Amino acid sequence: MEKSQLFERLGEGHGAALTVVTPNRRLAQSLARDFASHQAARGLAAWETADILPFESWVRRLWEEAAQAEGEALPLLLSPAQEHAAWEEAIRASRYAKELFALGPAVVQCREAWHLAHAWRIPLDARRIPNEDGRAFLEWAGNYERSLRERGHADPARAADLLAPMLGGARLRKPATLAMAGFDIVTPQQRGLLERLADCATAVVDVAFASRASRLARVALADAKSEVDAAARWARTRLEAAEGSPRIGIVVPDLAQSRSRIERALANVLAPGHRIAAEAPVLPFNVSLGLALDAHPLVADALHVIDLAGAHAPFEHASRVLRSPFVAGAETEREARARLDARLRRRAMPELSLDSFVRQGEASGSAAPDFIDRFRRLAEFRKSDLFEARAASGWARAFSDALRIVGFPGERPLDSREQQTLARWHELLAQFATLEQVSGKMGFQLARERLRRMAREAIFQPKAPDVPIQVMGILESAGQEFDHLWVMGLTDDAWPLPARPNPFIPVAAQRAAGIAQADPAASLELDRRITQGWMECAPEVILSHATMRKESELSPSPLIAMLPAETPEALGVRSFTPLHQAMRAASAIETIEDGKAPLVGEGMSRGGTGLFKDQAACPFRAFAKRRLLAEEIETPHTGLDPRDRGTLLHEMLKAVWDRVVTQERLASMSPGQIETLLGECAEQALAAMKRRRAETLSGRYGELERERLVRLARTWLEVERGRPVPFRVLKTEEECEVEFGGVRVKGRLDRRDELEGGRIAVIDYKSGACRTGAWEGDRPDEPQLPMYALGGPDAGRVSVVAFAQVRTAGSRFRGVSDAPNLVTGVTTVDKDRSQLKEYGSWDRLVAHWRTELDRIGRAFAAGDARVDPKNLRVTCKQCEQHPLCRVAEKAPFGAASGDEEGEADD
Amino acid sequence: MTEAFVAPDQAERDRALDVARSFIVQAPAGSGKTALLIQRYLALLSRVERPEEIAAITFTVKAAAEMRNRVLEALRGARQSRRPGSAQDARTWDLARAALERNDVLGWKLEESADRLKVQTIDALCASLTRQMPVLSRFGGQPEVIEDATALFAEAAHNLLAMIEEEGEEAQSVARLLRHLDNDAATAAKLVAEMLARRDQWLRTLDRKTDRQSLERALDEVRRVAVEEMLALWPEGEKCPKLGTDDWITQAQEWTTQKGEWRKVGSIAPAAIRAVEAMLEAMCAVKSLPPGRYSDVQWDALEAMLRLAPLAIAQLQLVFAKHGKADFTEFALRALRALEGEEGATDLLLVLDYRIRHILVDEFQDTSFTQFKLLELLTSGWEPGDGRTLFVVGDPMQSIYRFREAEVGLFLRAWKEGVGSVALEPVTLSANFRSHAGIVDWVNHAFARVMPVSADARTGAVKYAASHAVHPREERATHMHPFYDSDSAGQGRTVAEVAREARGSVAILVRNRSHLLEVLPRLREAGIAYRAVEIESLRHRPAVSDLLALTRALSHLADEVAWLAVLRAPWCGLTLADLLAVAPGEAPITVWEGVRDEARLAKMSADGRTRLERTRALLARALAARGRLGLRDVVEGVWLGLGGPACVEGDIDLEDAETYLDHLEAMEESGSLPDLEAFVESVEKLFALPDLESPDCVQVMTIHKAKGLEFDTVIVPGLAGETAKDDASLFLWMETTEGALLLAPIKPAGVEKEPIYDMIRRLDKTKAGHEVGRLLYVASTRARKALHLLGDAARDWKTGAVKEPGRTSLLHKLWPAVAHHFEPGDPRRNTRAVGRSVPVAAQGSLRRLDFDRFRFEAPAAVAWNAPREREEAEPIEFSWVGDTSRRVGSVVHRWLQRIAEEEMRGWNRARVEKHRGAIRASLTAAGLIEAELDSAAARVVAALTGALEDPRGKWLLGPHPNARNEYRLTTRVDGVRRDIVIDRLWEDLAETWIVDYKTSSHEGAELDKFLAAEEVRYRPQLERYAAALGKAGARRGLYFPLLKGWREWGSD
Ligand code: SF4
Repeated sequence: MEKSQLFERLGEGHGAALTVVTPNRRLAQSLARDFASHQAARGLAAWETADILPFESWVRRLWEEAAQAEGEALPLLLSPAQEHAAWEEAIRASRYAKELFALGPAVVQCREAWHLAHAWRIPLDARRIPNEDGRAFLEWAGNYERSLRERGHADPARAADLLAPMLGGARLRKPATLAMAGFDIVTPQQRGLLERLADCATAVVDVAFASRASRLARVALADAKSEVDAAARWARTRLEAAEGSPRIGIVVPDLAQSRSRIERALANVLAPGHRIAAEAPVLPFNVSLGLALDAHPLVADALHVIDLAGAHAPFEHASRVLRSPFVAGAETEREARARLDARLRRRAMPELSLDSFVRQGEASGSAAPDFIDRFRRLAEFRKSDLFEARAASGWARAFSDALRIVGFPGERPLDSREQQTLARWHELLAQFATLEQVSGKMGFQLARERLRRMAREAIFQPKAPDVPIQVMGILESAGQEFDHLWVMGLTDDAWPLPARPNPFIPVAAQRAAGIAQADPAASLELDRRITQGWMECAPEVILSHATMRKESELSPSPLIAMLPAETPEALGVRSFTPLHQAMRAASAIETIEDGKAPLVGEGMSRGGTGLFKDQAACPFRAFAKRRLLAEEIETPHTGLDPRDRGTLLHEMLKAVWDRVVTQERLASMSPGQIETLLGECAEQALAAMKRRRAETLSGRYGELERERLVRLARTWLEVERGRPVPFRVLKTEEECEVEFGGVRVKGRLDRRDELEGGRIAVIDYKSGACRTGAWEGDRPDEPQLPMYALGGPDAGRVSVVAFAQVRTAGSRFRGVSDAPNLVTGVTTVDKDRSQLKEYGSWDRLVAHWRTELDRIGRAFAAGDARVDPKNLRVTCKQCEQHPLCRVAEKAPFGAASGDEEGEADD
Repeated sequence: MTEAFVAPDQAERDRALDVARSFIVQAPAGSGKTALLIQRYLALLSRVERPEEIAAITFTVKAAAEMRNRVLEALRGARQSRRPGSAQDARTWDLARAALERNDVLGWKLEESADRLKVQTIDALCASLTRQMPVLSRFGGQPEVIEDATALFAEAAHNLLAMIEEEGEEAQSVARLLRHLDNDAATAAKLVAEMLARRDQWLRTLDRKTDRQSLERALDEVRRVAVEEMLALWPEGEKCPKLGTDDWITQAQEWTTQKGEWRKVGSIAPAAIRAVEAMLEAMCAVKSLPPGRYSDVQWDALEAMLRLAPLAIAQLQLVFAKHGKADFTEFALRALRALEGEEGATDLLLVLDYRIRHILVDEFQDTSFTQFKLLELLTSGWEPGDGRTLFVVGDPMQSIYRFREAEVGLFLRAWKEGVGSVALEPVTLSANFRSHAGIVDWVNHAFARVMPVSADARTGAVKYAASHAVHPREERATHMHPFYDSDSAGQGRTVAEVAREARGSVAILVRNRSHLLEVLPRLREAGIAYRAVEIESLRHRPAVSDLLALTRALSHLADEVAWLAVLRAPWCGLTLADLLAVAPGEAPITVWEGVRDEARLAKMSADGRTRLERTRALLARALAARGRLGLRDVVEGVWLGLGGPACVEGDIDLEDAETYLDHLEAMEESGSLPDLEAFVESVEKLFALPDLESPDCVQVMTIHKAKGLEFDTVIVPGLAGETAKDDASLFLWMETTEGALLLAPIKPAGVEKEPIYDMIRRLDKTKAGHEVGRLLYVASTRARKALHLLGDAARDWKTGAVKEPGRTSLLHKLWPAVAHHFEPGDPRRNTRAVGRSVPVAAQGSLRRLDFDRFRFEAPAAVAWNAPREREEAEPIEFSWVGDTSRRVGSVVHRWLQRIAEEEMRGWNRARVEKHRGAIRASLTAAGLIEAELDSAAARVVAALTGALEDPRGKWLLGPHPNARNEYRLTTRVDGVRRDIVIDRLWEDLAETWIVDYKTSSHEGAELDKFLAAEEVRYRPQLERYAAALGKAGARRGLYFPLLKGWREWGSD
């Protein structure tokens, strides 16, 4: 039957009793649309809807009708989701369940194998399946069949076979004519059903699509990107040239991967300004493929909420929920929640439980009460309702209750896309509930995984209006007609499709049965027919391919290689200026001088002595960190971070010296006494930290940390014990104020000792390597100790400055003093091993410090905020302000940063 | 090349084409090995039953494509053109001709299905094997390949460490590990993650004996062998003390200095001993031997690691499974597992439908242990003369992929022992078709010194094999440009000069990207166009850096640095003073709140305020729509709206921006970034796309990238660059001479010496040292006509003498051959290098859009007739009750349709009851859950019996003329198409009836009110039906079977 005849018959309405079946949904829709245009062109305002549907749906419909016609309860024909779950159960019941890396894909392939075997009549004979893959499949298939039998369900893979004998039933309505449209392949199973139908007086006919003479062209483009771009420009050129609404098709073999690239290219070419328009315009194209449901943020967030109700969830999931727009109060508390999240990040572990999430939220004196309240209720609900095994329907209900508790889908009104997504989500939950038909009770974990997987596999696309440009995959292009068609991606490695036999049925059997995907020769034949189909389905057909992919050269598919290559330009394809280029062409840049911030006001400056360190390292950094107080977001990490460990060390040594006080006392203590003391001090140090990092420190890790502190302090006390001049610790962690160059800051001096004879030593604990060279030059790396020496308590009497390098191995003092042999490891200036020795004497060093510290202070006070890192490579490496200071714009700062082998600094 | 030309090694080449035998071919640079591979492939084609029986394995995807294309070309050539004149080409043509005949006879259609030529990378081969063996590989289904699995390794490492808080022995092991590492969890996690990344190397060691006794036995052996090797050198006649190993160590320590030289004062070794050439080295080896036992601390740590290793692997598997992704190593390991099979080796015939009978491997010198094992399995059971062959080609002198687990020792081993059961005949090629004689001669001369004198599989030492140039000598070909004292600017200038002067293709090759820091700016200054392949990370390109800030800001409202950066970026360009005005400072608010705070805004400059308001409007829009678009779309939209493209410096930045945005899209999951920190790190590894359109400009790339390429002129700057110290590994391992396994745990934090660890580490360093020489070889042999080497030597400050270059540098290797180019300088010259800084002029400058001059209008959109938007359905309320009613409704409709179709004949309460089972089945099929089934079925039955027993129902369902049920129509109103379904319709002469069934239920009184409300609700629907039918005068009815209710109107 010709297509025109078909439409004529369809136009007769129900009287004709004509049903059209297609191999896929896309073609059914396209035919329906064609028919509608046909009817509309006849001037009708209403007509009987044509009965056009994919083969599978038709079989399902027949099943339902048969069930009703007989009045007997026919077994339940499993829905795709149920079928999937039944296979999953079948595999789970085998010994492989635990060993397999991923069950999901195995399920998909098994189901495919099962369908193939039935569709192509391949006997699954244990004797003919010799390898383990095949044997495993047989075992699973056995389980699957047993489950069907026991539960009295019908197998979708055999629905056509089961239906065939029922077709004779008088009550079952059958079409007078069944038209088959666009079938490149008819499987033996399908043929069986059709033959039976023919026996029952239904006329089965093929729909022939009139082939048209086409203007054919092959276009070779540099790479996939230019290919897509050319197709987009072509589409716009043709659309603008046409009168009325042409049908323009673009066929993309790897649509799933390149979908967004194509959408973007089309959008950018068709409406360059669409991204900056106040209201998003309707664009004249539609992509036939939807996104996975779980890729829609609304659904993803719902799943994250459910995740969070499990035993543990990654912090990032919790964080996402905390900032989700789909939770009640998301607008009202938007900023508060972001701040809460930033705060939690500083103390959280990379994984957390709902309870601890809520606890931490409560503890941080939250400004987001609504959120905390809802999640507290969720935590309670979890305890009562999200435990123990239950049926799928029970879980579906519990999940939707959990979502209700957190106020999903939030207070922002949903737009139409979100509305449809939400409806689809509800449908998914309902579908999930029906899994109770095929699987027994399950625990939370399994239920959640299944729901997640179903959401990932549910491809969903919000409805789109009828538009002239249709983008589709290869399968959906079969049998369609266009005014203009562009098929892209036809390289020799992609087309003909490489053979991909199903791994669960012996390849030879598949080949013998005639399954194209299992046999290169059959695949070539099929793809040649498809190519021929393209070449005849539109007056203009363009077949294109890229010549390069990354670094590899590509050749055209042999099926199109005989066409002479043409350029898009030769085909009249126009160029359109992309938005960003137009914008760049209009660019107008000015450069102004802005290195000086307003003067610093009176009073205390923020940032402590670190301010001077920053100002010396880079004035802009001091401005950003100490005046703007700009901080970035942190990411939770395993264990304590170096900062916390440093704090613990300080607290530990403070506790020790607060009790021991003098070297003499230390010397008098027995090892046993020292051990007791250290144990107590470690407890004390940890107690403070535990308030902030309870989760981290509560268990064995905290115990190890205690051990570490004791160990460190023990080795350190050895160093102290050996000091030549007896000393008394005057103060530990002493708060003080220091001022240089008019800038006053708060400081906290780790320790101040008085040596016998009256000298004062200032000491800074370091857990990493340290060097006296850090006090040298006009931009000292570590100006803190000089600041205390010159401006702290007892400033006049300080004559020893020393780093105390406290480490498991290599603990020592490093410093300088005004006389020799005061502290082990501390020398006079002229004996120093760094460039500090060039100052020659203590007095000259101190004078130098005074000058430089004053200068640094004055620069800060004056608002000096130049981007002037001391050493681009070193200083900027540990600085988080580079997006703000824009150093990359000023000097080639990053070229070395991507180095695979790296290189030593300094 | 003329017809008469015969390559100097032609006999070897011919031999290698014997398709009955297996070979290992050493093919130095430029020896035309690809041509040889093609020829062999063609030769094999004419012998096999199916083309798939030949598996060719290449190192890169690019090489696979190239080889396949060349085979196809040869086939096409043989089909279409005449036999060429030159001997080589004719040979290929003949072979291709024979292959074609085979193709035609057996109907392969190779020219049309290129996929049948199985030329692929080892990764692709593994993927195809595991795909066909989902159960044997235990994959179940193919996961997605992830090239950079760093984040997953980190996740697995974290999970492993988190076990510390669990019960059981595992926790103890974790605790022991942490204690060993000073309880530094971050370092521990990093080490475990790195260990997982390299599991390909050590996994197989876990199968071996790792108890303390066996390991210490291995240790003993190592010590004994070292002493024996030293004693073997002992000069005859010299008295040899009888000492135990430990005493020998002491003796060696006495005789040699820290620096590894003979001691000249104090305890001096006898002159005769010092005179033996290799004695010093052997003595030093003895000196640094570890003690014969593990210390308890070491053993404790090692044991913990050995226990944790399998657990870490298990965690990794879980993480892979959770993400549905796996790295190439996992594929390879699974492929191995599948091939090994459960009950003996797997028969591939059953899996693939063909047997692999011939294997060709290119770049065999860069094979890893796993790949080697894979080859062994694929060839297991092969016997000489059974028609199956293995053909491996490579150049051990070009093995430079240690960091990707390449193990050059495997080539050396295969050379001697073959692969598995297959013995390989060695073939050595020596003709060089690439470079001019000047270069070949220099390379022969220099690398005989650079490379070790003898091969050693254990240390990866490869001996140099000389080449013979086919091309004659031209002008001076090799140039060493000496520089002194970190003169990178000088090097940059010279590179630019050479590049400008050079004719033909030019490449600048470096070992490290950082060696280009000074070079690229000079090229730009000199106006030389270049194309850098994976050289410049995009992370700090201003355009990308700004986009990254925007991404961060839009991802997190509390990211202050990012938010302020957005305000400072050229599109907004706030001054420092204005920033200070709006920044939150000490207030507990976000920047976003700050910029909307009137009190703060009042403190801003007028210009700043205008700028801010423009930016704020766009950001507000984006924030209001969060969670609606993909993150990429949001970021790009805001960027475009702000005028981002107008802010970039060059066109290239626009491309970079796109590369970044594409990357963002690839990394985001459902509209946000799952891990911001990991994302920022990944941007670090993002490079500008190579420009495919301009192949003629100067190419800049790493030596690794240049492998397999050739250029007329090659410039190698930065020869003196050193590599950073290797990071520590959790544990190290080595095989002893006798094949025993030796393991050493990492040093505890802060400990400097750990003899066993250090000893294995030295072996590693030796291997690395050998590879440096090979890297240099690869760089040098890329050149066809001219080779320029640039290196920098330090000179002693006091004496001006040239110092030897650093040990890990390329120049150090080359030193014996080029030292004479370097001259001493003036003594006492100040040579202190200074840190790099920002130019003074740029320190205080702010670059930004000038809105007085920036005017912009978007290019026009396509002109077309957009359809009118359809009005939307009312919001959906989800509840279980609603859902059940919907399903009940649909089932009731279906049964009413049937009853009506049968004009109610034989229908009564009893018959409905009889169908209760079928009704239940319908409900289940419609998706109703079990718990609701009984009540729902009851409602359906109630509805049906209600209708059957209600006079109104009887009238409705009974016979009518021209009746239709579930009548489907399509309407078209104002261009909008709509499908409708009319439940029941009939027409007789007098009137037309349009009836819709509603299964609403209602409890309580005031039924009439309820029905009236329902009528109001559904009236428009029925009006539409009437309109569609063109029957404005039709009577309309709503029937409520559950309520036996009825409303009608119309016609009057
Ligand atoms: S990144 Fe460098 S230039 Fe920028 S603020 Fe930090 S130190 Fe200064």
